[in-house]
Amino acid sequence: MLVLNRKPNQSIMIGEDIEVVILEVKGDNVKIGLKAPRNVPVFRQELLAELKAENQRAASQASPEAAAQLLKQAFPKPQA
Amino acid sequence: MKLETRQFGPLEVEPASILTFPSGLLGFEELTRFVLLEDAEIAPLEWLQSVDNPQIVFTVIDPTVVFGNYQPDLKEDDWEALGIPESTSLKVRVLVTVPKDPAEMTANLLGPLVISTEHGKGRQLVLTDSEYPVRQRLLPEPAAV
Repeated sequence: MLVLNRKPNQSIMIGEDIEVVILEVKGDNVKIGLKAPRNVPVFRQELLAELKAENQRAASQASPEAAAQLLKQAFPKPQA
Repeated sequence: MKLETRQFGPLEVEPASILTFPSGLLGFEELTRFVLLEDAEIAPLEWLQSVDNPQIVFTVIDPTVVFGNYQPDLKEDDWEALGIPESTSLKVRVLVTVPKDPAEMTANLLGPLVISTEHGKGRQLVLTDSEYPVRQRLLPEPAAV
């Protein structure tokens, strides 16, 4: 991993059009600004990890028949 | 084509019904082909069966059944990844996780699926700018006794 030292208001360029700006350092909190083209997705790492874990959980679940019954009772189809 | 699935045993799949998710699902990036199956046994849930790994099947629901006004927005990179015109009408489905107690089932509203049956394409979105939860209960909390 590349390690760089930066001070507040200094930044790092990733390629030509992604800029990471250190805005503020307060205790163990770092406020970071990101300038990136709209087509570059930017996520908190935990968010992506959480979604991956939830997909894993969804793929290894018990059979959904009982769940379907509960849904049918709770949300009956409107009668035509 | 014929799949030997865990859930259904042998399953005949029409090639035309296969949905390609170019980026796979999060955590399942290698799974890019799925079929969406309706099944009276589990309605209003539906199956999302992996074609690449027939052992893997998800359950999904049309979120409007439970969450009337839920409408995820696609970003530019989502359309780019789908490779379809932005005017395409999309089906929305959310993944449902059913734990041991089925009343505790939850839907993933933060990472919904959008599907174009017309183009045979799909994508799992990440609604970073939203407040939607990864685990939203489908049924109300049981009343305190």
